[in-house]
Amino acid sequence: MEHTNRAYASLFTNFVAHANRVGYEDGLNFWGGSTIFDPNGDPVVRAPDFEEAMTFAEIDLNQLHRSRSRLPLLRDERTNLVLHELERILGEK
Amino acid sequence: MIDLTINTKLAEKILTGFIHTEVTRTGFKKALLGVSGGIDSALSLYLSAKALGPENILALRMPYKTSSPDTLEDAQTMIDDLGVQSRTIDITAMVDAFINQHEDMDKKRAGNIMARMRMIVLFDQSAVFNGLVMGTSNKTELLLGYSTIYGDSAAALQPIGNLYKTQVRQLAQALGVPEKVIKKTPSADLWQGQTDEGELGFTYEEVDQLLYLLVDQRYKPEACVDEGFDKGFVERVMRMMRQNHFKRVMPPIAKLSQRTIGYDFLYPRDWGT
Repeated sequence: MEHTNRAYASLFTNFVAHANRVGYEDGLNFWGGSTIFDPNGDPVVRAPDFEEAMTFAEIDLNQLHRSRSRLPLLRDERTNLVLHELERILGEK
Repeated sequence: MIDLTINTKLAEKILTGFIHTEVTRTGFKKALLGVSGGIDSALSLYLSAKALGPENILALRMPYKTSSPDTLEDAQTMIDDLGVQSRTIDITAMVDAFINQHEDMDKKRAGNIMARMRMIVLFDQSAVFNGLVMGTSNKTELLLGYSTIYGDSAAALQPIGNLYKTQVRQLAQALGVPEKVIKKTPSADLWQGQTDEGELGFTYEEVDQLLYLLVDQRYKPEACVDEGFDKGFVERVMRMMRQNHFKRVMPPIAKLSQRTIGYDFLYPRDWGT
């Protein structure tokens, strides 16, 4: 889960906040451990595992432009090409 | 080599939390279980005592005349060690009353009858004790179907049902189950000289590794053979899993109306709690 959230944060150079519940639902166990990752993919905060917690963190929105200058994935994305390719792939089904 | 090592601290935390939550959400605070002296019921007993407090646990010893006295003694050692409540109810008279009516009785049928008599005693005592019946089945036997339906498989909860036998040993060790119980040759003790591995024809070490690939890692049977498992062994385990699947699911209900239990009436077990 953390790998995925961290990957999304890095790839989209965005903050990713993930809130996970704690406790048992229909016998199934949820582990807590909520996280925020910053646009570099670095952890900002992590809630404890298996325990209820009120977890605060401050997000510096200026970090968005700093990360995106360093790694201009969003700027360089050719959205028309992506859209075109997605339509082609879906059309192939 | 497939590594089935578990984080025993984490498993203990999740399983004691599971027992506590699932027992108390239905309005109960107590639980009872059959304690044979074997490792599965021992681990279930230690986890239950931790989760609910020893005073809220009733350990039932239910020997048959051929049950090993040694094993019965091991059960008592653990009962004393934990300080849980206990009762001993001999099932010989009730089992023999039934068995003796059938001249063609074989040991497999007799074994099933013993398992089901123990179920009757457990559910009867649950009404007296006002607690839920705790199951003691592990993942290996649930997957192989190595159990008696409505016998040892009958329970309100199955706390160790996601642990392979080799993992049961790890957690039992971590929780302080006596070494003698952990090291004992696994047996359903339904007839003298019976051992699980003798009856199954393979060891738990071997089959746990195979089941891990087949079930947890979703390997195809052919891929398990490529990994070095004997073809006949893989086929036999697949057959056992399929043949006994009916033991793991609720009986199907024939659909006649718009809403049928099991198909489109599908609330979770903790519905409304």
